[in-house]
Amino acid sequence: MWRLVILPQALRLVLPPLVGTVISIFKATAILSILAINDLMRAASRVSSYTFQPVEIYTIAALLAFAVGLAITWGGNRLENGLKRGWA
Amino acid sequence: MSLDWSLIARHAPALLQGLGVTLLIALVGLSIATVGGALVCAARRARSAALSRFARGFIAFFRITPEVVLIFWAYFCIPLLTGQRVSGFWAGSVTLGLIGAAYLAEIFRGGIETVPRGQTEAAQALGLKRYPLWRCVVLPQALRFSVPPLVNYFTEFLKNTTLLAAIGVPDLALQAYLLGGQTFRYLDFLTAIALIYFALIFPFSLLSRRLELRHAG
Repeated sequence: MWRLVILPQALRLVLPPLVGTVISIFKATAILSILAINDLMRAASRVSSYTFQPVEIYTIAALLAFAVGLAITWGGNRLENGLKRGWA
Repeated sequence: MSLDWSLIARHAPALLQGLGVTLLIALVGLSIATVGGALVCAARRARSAALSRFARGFIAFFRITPEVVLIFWAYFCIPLLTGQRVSGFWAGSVTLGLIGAAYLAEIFRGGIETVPRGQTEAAQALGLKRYPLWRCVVLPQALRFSVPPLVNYFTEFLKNTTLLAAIGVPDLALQAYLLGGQTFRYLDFLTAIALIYFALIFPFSLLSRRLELRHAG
């Protein structure tokens, strides 16, 4: 009953807010760079402090972060469309 | 180790100053967000495909890219690109304002699209021109639909202001961090600002929940 009736319907309802939450969490990870965790942003500020080219480094970091977020959004949309067509 | 409230009381002026900066960031950022959000929303709904595509890109970019990344970019890159000194306060507030504009544009659009189509059609049937149609029929209803999510986003925005501490804007969060460093009492100050932020934001989140319930009921 769960696998065939409830989960397919529940997943379809839950997916859009779930994708939103995943994006928020992904955005929040960038904040951890302040706590000296060596993530994308920390690496960017480290590299720019010895290459003295912050414009290039930060622009690339921003585009990379955007690309990851965009990929999550697209993945979510595709999954949503798939579920709508009854594939579950 | 216990909390020393007299220590916090002694440093209250610095904390209050920080609170003032936090509120000022909120004021500047939300003003930019409101005006920008209305413009982006108008562009998003425009008949011109280029305008609408630009607005869509703007919304996607500012909603998806992490706030910290944008704030760092604005703070470090804009002075180099323009050759002008930009203070952390302005770089940060304007960046938060642009991010807010992307969110508010979607909130406004949601509000406008919630107004039943029959309302517009009835107004047209009565012979209302474009301007009075928007001014007297669509916008009053759309804004009423937008209020609960707006208040909700306002709480989100207040939380985002703490990110400006990372680029040295002396807001409440940075003041507490600095005072903690000076007195070696991080526990007291960070606990104090956690309570202050909670006290600041909780009323708005209660308000937003009440507004949402009133709409549902």
